[in-house]
Amino acid sequence: MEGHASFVGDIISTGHVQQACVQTEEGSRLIEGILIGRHYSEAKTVTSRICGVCPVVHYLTAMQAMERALNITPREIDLIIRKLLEASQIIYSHALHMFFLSLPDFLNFDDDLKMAGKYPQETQIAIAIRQWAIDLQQIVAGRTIHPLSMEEGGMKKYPAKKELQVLLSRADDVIAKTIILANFFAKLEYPKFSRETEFIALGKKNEYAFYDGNLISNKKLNISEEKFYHHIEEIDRPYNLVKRTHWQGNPYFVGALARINLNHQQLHAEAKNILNHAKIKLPNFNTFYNVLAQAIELVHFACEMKKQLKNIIANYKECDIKKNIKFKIKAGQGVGAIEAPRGTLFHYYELDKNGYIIDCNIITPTAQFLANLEADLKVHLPDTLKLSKAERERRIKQLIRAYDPCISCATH
Amino acid sequence: MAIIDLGQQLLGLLDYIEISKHRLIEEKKEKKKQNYDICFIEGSPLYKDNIEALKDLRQRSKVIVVLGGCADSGCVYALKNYTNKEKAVKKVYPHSHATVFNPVVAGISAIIPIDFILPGCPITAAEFVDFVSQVLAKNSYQRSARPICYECQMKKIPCLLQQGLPCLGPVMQGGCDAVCPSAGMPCQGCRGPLPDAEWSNLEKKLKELIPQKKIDEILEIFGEKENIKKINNPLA
Repeated sequence: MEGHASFVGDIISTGHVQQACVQTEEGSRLIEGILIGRHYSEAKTVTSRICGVCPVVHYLTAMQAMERALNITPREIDLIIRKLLEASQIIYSHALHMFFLSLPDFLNFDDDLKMAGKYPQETQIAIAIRQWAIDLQQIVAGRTIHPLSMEEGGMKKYPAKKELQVLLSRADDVIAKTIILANFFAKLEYPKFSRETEFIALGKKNEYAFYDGNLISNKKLNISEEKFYHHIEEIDRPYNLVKRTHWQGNPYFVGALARINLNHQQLHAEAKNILNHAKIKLPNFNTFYNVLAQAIELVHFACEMKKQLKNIIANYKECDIKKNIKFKIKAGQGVGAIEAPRGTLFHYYELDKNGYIIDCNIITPTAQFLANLEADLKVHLPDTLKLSKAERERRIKQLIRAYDPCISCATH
Repeated sequence: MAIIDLGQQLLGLLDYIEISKHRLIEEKKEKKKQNYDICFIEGSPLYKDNIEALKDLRQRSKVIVVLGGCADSGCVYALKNYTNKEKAVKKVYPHSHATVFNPVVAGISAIIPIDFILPGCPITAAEFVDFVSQVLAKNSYQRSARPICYECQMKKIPCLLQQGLPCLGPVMQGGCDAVCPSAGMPCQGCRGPLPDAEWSNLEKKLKELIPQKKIDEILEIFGEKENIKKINNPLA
């Protein structure tokens, strides 16, 4: 998985689980501490370095929060570009995680290179899907890892129309590949497990929400991003560098499985098709299926990228840095919330009248679902007692990896 | 991650090299302590265990290559050195800060001697491929020392400094293909300065454009402020 962590579980002879705890093995970089006193423009640059797998979403969320703090309403064309990049971020991350991090668990490999040898066609497909996302991020954001071209109020430089057209010409081939891969994942064997929990994600009318919206859940939650952020409970325990979160006193789940459960009606048709054929009943609380949910989202977001590419090309005359929004620096605060590949990411900043950061907080999806993972492990551990020691270890890792934890993000 | 993104190219390299250990793509336990021909290290030490690990890896490796800004200078995390680190840890961990290891941020050369540096944030994947290729071909590695300006001019990018933007291109190491100026972003020096950088000249020009506080901010963001000042004043 991304980053390093260890799991400690403790079952006593009656089958009662005394402890189920995931520990980070990453040191803390104190990102929120070191951003205090820095200029607002640096937040997106610094926070994208939190993670090499998901730098784009940190950059976009920091920028969204700063624009809200500075009362900047982005232009329509810039919103389309950011949605394009976020969709690309999701397929870049999902294809990596599903295929190179989680799939070895389902096929009993401990080495990606060996697995690639046994499944060359599927490996090529996963690489080709990622290559489209990598090329798109290079062309639109200026660089794949650690974006460059977007800024508060607009862009430093817009991508060339010709290059967008070439990217669009590859879309249908990539979508076809995502469908092949998704069907491959639909045919895998998923361990049996279920524990009811609260699924939380962004929700929006008429759209599979991912760039903005209200926070919604299967327990009738429906509130603004700001309100949700200000009521999250962050738990800071000694010797545990990842602060867990609770919502109204309980663990909760964010991520692909949450989004599919809550917003599946708004999936693009090709993705809905995979879901229907997979024959899983919703609501579904088997968190092993988070991997299948990612496979379905792979198809959905590839279609979303095609849609947004067409949009930009059709409105290309708006791609002009002279039209960037001119704004005044002022004191203020803002909450950014975007569906990162692993779930809802929150950035919060407060600025002084000169635009310097006086307070900030970042709540990553992994920090939000770790408590839920531990609760799942507590319930599932007794079920694994009937397996051999090696199989039990594999099963535990399989569940942890199905969540797709990003330990670097969680620790930051 | 930049290396994984090489995709096909990475698979191609595997015809010539064996990747003994890479924790993102495999999970085998090291059965006995292995010796390495080349050990690429990324990240800066944040835990006491990291420091021991670095010393251990130095003993078991013929060549140590610093991979990326964090291992080189601490990169953006070196911002901690320009703030009050006690305040920073209390802000992030209001209850448990006493249990958090909170070192001064530095590159790995502060702990062990190193042989080569592939700098940048992120690294330039092509430079990694070039390094491996050169070592395979002639058992050594060389890289031309040229400023970012050279690369901007080759790509015919209109000079950002001449447009009044504070760009560190003239003093910073090329090799990234001027990726930031290509996207409209002035260079902020993530690859570190050239050994013979003429900082005082650029500093004069920058002072015409922005106040001293802003110049310091730009030099701090990738942890290069001390390095650039050392070049023109080696006794500092």
